[in-house]
Amino acid sequence: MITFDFPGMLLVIILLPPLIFLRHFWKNRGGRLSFSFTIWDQEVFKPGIYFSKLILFLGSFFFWLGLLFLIIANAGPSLVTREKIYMTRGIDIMFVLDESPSMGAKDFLPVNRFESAKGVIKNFVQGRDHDPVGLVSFGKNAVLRIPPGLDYDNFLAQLGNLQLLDLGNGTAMGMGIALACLHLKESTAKGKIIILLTDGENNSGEIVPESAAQIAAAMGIKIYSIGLGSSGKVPLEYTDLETGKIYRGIYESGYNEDILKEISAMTNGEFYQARSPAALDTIMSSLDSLERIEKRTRLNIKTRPIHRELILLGFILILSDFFLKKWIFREVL
Amino acid sequence: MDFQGGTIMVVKPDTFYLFFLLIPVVYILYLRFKRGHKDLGSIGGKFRSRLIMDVFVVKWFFSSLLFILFIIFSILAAADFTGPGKTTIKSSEGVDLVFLVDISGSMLGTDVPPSRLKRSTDLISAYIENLHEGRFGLVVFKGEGIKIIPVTEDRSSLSAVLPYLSPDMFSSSGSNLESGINTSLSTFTKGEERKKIIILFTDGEVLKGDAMASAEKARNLNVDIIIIGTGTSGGIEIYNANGDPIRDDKGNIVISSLNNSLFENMSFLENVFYLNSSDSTVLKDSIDIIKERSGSSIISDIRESRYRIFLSFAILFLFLYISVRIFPWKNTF
Repeated sequence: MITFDFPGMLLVIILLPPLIFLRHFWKNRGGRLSFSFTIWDQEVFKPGIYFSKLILFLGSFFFWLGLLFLIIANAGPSLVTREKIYMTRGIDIMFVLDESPSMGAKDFLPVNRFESAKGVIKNFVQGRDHDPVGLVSFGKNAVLRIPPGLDYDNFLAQLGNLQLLDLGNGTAMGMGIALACLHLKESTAKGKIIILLTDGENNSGEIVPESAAQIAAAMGIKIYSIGLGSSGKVPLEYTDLETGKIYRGIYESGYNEDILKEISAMTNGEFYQARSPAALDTIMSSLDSLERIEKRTRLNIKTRPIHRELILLGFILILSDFFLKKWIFREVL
Repeated sequence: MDFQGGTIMVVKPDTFYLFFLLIPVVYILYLRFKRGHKDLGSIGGKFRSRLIMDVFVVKWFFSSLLFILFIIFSILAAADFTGPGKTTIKSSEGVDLVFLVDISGSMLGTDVPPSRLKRSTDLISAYIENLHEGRFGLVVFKGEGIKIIPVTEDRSSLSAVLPYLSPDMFSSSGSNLESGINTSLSTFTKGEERKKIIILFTDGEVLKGDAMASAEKARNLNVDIIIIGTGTSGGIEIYNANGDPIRDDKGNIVISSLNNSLFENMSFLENVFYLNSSDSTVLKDSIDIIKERSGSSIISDIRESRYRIFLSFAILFLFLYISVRIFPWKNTF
């Protein structure tokens, strides 16, 4: 946005139209001399330069445009940018996402559980305001994808790159939670939460979910666990990343609800069941409103004067007209 | 570049070089006077030539004088004179440090044992251990800058990545410090008034980009740069993956050495500091700089520009210049 320190100076622009009229259209204007052709004892006038009228018009156009820029520069123009400065710290949120093959179950149409979970995480993060977010994913192993931070673009890029079976065929839920706790250890936020999205039972890794939950409780981290999918037989499809082969079949779905309830209860969190995409959306929306703290902000206004650019531009345009008319067209006055 | 004279300061003294434009302008005006004097004398005829010449001389003189005055005052306006400044002290709330590491092939040089790159990562580990407050990020650069870890409180994620830094991380070739600094600048989080510092580890063998321009951009954004020069002036051969020394197009072995001149030039900027990694006190000195720069204040010096006085006169002279042409005198032209 452009603002002017002295907007009253822009009133000088009113003088331009009458000046243009007087300079180019007024019948009695100066700068023209009538004379007898018989006195001109020289060659007949020849049209010297092609498109001379066009070039003369351009020259005049540059002149008046340059003058306009100078008048605008005199009004003290500045480019204003507004930046919201946060005075309070947000809460740290770590997503722990299951990447095991069962997340390829197609009971979260039109996509599968995994893509549906990624979608709601994306919407959740995009709706947050200055809360550091991080991402851990787990299959047979658990990996930190993004440490907690405010770079939402980077987070969403990493989230988009996640693929099923990337971390092997298994469910190391306990390791995922423990890893999330490890990377929240140094956080100075008053509130720290883990949002766990899984559809299976812990069957891999050295740390069981209960132990990881104890670590989280000791660190004051709440765990909100979301059990994805319905029980029973569901169609499943996933791609082996190494071979590119697509596997399809029927999968006996189910997760240990008691474990998930227990780890949430131990950490003063909540357990939720999401049997459909709509249910998952609702759960994430309620989490979104549940875990919000009041933030104090201040508006930082930065101004950058741009008068110098306009002065130089106007100067160049007016000089262009001068050289065009005095040098090329040899105007004497 | 600024210079100071009493309480008046000229922000852009380079603008005064534009005064050289007066030479061709005056020359052209002189040529037009000669031409006009000759031609108008011819076409004026026996009875009017004296009157026409009088009018021409007077109008030519005043229009030329006014145009020259317009040029002079426009240049003075563009040079941006400023009056006494108003100092604003703001306190920063914490510090964000981005480690910017050169991972080009020359950083495998062993003139700094065990290697330039290893020395750099060891120093980073030392910073993480010794700086108990602050947030950290990690950017590496070769042909371009790449963000590895966004700014985060999670130090363990940074420590986990350090052993894996190597020229093989990315395929881009060359060494583009400008891109590295720009990527580092984009890594800092917006919306917070924290002191921002880039700690740059490099041997200065920069093959692409304008490092000074990006350092000036950092200065304008109030970001400091601490350069840890890694390498020796004498230099060393660099070996490729096969163990063969790298050669140039003529077959000569390339000697990679520390580019002190680049760092010394950059350190002329008030936001850039240069230390050598071989100094035993490099860690302490750099931490002292970090604490001093981030401890208490960000000072901004707001100076009121006085350009409008000159620009107003420039516009006035231009209006008068137009008027001399527009209004006929002595019923002639």
